[in-house]
Order: sequence, then structure tokens, then C-alpha cells
Amino acid sequence: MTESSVAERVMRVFSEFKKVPREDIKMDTTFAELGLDSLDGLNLIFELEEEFNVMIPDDKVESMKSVSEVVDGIQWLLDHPQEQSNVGPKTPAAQPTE
Amino acid sequence: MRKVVITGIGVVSGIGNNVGEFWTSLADGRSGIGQIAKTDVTSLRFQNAAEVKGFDADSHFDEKTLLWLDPFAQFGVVAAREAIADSGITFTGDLKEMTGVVTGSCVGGKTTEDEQFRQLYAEKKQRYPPTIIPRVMANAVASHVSMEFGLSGPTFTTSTACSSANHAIGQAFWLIRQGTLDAAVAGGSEAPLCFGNLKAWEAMRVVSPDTCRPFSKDRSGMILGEGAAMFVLETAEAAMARGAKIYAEIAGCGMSADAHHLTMPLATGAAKAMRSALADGNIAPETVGYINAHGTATQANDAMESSAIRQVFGNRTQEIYVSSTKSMHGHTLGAAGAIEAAATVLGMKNRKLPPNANFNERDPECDLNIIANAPVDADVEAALSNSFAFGGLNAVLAFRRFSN
Repeated sequence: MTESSVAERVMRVFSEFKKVPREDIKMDTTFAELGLDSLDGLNLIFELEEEFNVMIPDDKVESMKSVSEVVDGIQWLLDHPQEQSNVGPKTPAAQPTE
Repeated sequence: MRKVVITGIGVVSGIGNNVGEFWTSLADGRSGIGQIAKTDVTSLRFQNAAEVKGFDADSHFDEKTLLWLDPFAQFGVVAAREAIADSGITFTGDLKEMTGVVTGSCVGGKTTEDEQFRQLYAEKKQRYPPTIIPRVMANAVASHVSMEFGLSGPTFTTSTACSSANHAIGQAFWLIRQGTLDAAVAGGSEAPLCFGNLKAWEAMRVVSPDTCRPFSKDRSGMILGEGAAMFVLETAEAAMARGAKIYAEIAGCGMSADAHHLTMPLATGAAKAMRSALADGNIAPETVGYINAHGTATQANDAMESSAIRQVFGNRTQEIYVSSTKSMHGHTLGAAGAIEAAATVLGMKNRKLPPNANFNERDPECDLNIIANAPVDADVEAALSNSFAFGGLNAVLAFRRFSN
């Protein structure tokens, strides 16, 4: 999966969520510029989890305040599927035990 | 105006299944928070809660009765029985007519509903047992207690999320004070730890991955709990006439709405409820020595509540002991106000205030006199117990040391 396709899908989720034209969403658009309060932000994160079928941990959510930060966070999660839960069982093969 | 007093207490909680065990845990600062055992939570982002442990429903109810009782109702009825026995009250014919039952619950028989939905949708079961509707209804506790003891005064249930029990106890108190009732069984109960409901809490992103650290700088969110607390409330006159032991006077109740936001609390709304409780009970703010805080350990609540307390008590704030006992029994939602009222009243009676467990570091945003990790010996004249709900609905109870 290329980074541009992740970015494209993230921006589509943003535009559908805010019901604004796709071209109004840029990589540097922030949650604040879109007028998203904390509950809107939670709902948007939920839409992104649905779109990418990932579980976004709480500490990642805190660092997602703009389109580019969301794209980076989602890309990282797609590259590190074993990190999608804060506390759930990790994939045993991913990390050799010492 | 009639004085209303507490003469009986019953508790089922994550730190003890009766008042004695509950108080011992509180006085030791012992937390009941641990890995959830009643359902498989390995797929969830959080694993811990304050579960009720060692509660044997079969020792409290016969098989036929249990068919009609969700766990939240089992906890509530057991706590009510303990409170009534503790008070020593005898419900004679006239008194039965003038005694009501007022209970709080946020999610009612959610555990029953969750299991039935699973069987219906996942297992394609064709039929429900006929007991489901009365098991799930949020007023089940009020109805069962009224039937068991023949109490036929005004009886109902309030559901205001995390303030449910304080709204219930406040209503019962007012009904007695105004003469509609002579006595009441009041409190709250909750059993929210079923998988479907835990999944919904996961989505709110307010539950801590480890433990509940109210007002501590490193707090990381709330921890759910379950249980019940019930009280026998009656007039001071009746209690004294029968020589009952009196824990404390319930002196005032204050309620307000933030009229602001579903999940972002407003300090002015919380402050308004505290001021209103003091005014309702004719309590001078300088007599308040303890506040059992709502203290959920979310970033938003604890900073907001600290600001609200400061708005109400100003320069005296540092003289008032504050603790959130949710650090030990968890956030029991619709039972929270009742379990915390029990902690408050037992603390006043025993002249020992329960601590705020799991406290690591002071937070400048929460500039309060926190009872960190160990109880303090103090004889307080008046105390508040705060409950602030999602949806901005606030209810505060005010208690006064009893003297005639």
C-alpha cells in the first residue's frame, strides 16, 4: 500500500465526515480548522478505524490533530499491526523473547 | 422543617460485600481494582475494573427468585436488606404506607440484555425466556425491595448516568423532609461489566489501561466498578424515639445542569450544585471539612472539579480534605453516589476520612488538600459528596454530624 493512497483515503474520510468538498481537505488541515470538538474527533477516529480496519491506540489518538498526522499515524499502524492494541495480546512471532 | 437522618447502610462493592468489609478496605486504603474475570477482555484496550468478588447469589436468593434478578438487582436488594437490618427499623402497617424506595441506576439490566442479544443475533436462538423484560428494567431494585418489605409509599428510579444515585437519595431526602414520606430506602446499584458495555466504554477512550489515580498528575482515566449501596432514611424524631443509632444527618441536596456539552464538564455547573446543596441544608461553607469528590481520574473531570471546589470555597479550599474513593471501588456509574455517600458517612461517624488511593504526584491543575493514600483522623462537622454525570447533570449531597 503506498503512502499516497493512504493519504487519499484519509482525506476522503475527512471530507465525508465534515460533508465538505474533497478539495477543501489538505494535508496540513487541522482538526481545529475543521471545527472538530473532542466528541467529533472521537467519531472521526472511529470512521478511520472502520476505513482501515485498524485499532488506533489512545496514545496515538492524542498525537493526531491534523490530516498529515493522521496519515502518518495510520501508515505507522499499517506497518506495525502488532502495535494496534495498548494491552491486548501481541503477535508472538513479531518480537523474539529475550 | 423535619430533620432527616441515616440509620442504616448496606454495601456490595469491589472492596467488600457488606459495610464492615467495605469500611475496613477504605480505612486501609486498599484498592479492589484488578484484571476483569467475569468476561474475556483480552481483545480490549483496557483490562481492569473493580469487580465484586465472592458474591454468592444462591446464598441470598432461591432459584425461582434469581430468574427475575439481573446482577444489578441482586446487588441492590442485598444492600437494601443489609441497610434495613442495620437500622433496626420495624415496618409496621402505618409506616409501610409512608415508606418509599428510591433507587438509581444508569444501565439497569444491561448484563442480561447483552447476553440475550448475543444468543439472539450470534447464536440465532429462536426465543427469549419470559423473565427478560422485568430483569432488564432499571426500576427492578425499587420494585423488588418494595415487594419484599411491603413498602407502599412513592417508589421510583432515577437514571442520570453517573449522578443517578445522588439524584435518587436527594429525592428520597426531600420527600421525607417535606412530609410526603416518613422513611425511605434509597441508594443506587449497577452491574455494567458485560462485554458489550465494556466495548462501548472502550470507544469513549476515557478508561485507564492500568488503574484509577484521581487528582494525581499521572492520572490516566477512569476505572469501572460495580456494586450497590442503600440507606435507610427517616426523620430524626422517629429515629430518636426508637433509640436508633444515627450515622449522620442528610442535610441538603443540590442539583444543576451544565447546559453545555455531553462529555466536557463545566465548573460553573458543578459549583452551582455544591452551593445549592449547602444552601438547601443551611450549611455554612466554613463548617465543611471533607468532600468525597466525583474524581473520576479523567483529565477533564479532575481539573474541572478542582476549579469548581475553589469557586465555592475560595481561600478555605486548602483546609478541606478531599478524596475520590473511586480509586478503590472504581466508578460504579449509577451506584457511584450511593457507594460514595456510604464512604462519606462512615468516615464522619468513625472520625477517619478515607484516602485517595493510587496518588503519585500533585497536579497544579488540581490544587486541593488531597488525602493521599492513607486515611486521616478528623472529626468533621459537615461533608459533601459530589456526582457529575455525562450530559452535564450534577447532584451533590450534604451531610452534617448529628446532634439533637
